Amino acid sequence: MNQKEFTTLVMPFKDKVFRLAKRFLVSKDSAEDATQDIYLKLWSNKEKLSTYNNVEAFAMTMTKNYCLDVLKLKSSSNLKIVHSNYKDNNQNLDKQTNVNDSVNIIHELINNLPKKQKLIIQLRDVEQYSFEEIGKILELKPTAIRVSLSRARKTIREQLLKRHQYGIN
Amino acid sequence: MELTKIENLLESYFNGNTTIEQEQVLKTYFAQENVPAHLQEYKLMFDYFAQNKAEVSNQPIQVKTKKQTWNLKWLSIAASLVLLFVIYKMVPSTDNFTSAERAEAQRAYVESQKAFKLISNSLNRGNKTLAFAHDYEATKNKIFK
Repeated sequence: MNQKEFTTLVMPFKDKVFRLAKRFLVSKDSAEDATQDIYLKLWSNKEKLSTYNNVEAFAMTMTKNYCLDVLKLKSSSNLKIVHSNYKDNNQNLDKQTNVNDSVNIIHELINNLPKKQKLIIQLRDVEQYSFEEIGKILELKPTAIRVSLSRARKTIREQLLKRHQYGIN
Repeated sequence: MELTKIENLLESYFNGNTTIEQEQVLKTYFAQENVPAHLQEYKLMFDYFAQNKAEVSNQPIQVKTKKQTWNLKWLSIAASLVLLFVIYKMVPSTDNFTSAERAEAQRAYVESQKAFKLISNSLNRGNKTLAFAHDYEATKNKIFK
């Protein structure tokens, strides 16, 4: 497989990989680094890629695993936690200057969901994958995905309504 | 009519029972500006999803590592060849003596063997005299226990 074939095969879902990474790694920079790493891994496995019937699902699974690994490393290393706190502050500054504050509430609500629900919301409501595709990516049964998804959506709604009521009072 | 349809769709959306097409209907509905007040919260959600999907990475992906690995491969082959050559040069070869030198070495070997035999013989002669000493030691141990 040469570079051109590789590019046409894997570039269409580059932004999906990026957005999933950003969902977990918070900052744009680390999401871009993650995307770069994942594409390097894909490139070094390029001979095997053609044997997978769904390269996109494979890449998304890789992204998921990559992000969870990074998070695990972060939580086990104090230095990294300090670092991420620092980045978080920057983000809060960004948020303060952002006019679209209400949309950011949703962002926060999704980020507070359990990892699995976060993944499913990202894959379904943002990227609009079918249940079968999500099943392939997460190695879960479609019924389990449906349940998690419903739970996640309801949690977001609940929290959102709570905040709004709080705002009115 | 339209509103009840949307409300029904929302209900099954939160139960996880909508298809991609139905969710698309919701998305397009909430993309418009005029949404009834009691549905404003849902507009926030769908707006967020749309915004999030529009986010792209501007960083170009670089996968041109092929050239580098190629160089590394040839570099390692060359390095191992050089190493082999150096080892070959450093270990003295045993096979480049002339026949005269070989004969000389053989003679020296025989001579030194002779010399060693001589030393060994005289040492053994000394050992025999020492045997008395051993006898003396044994008798002494018997007496002084």
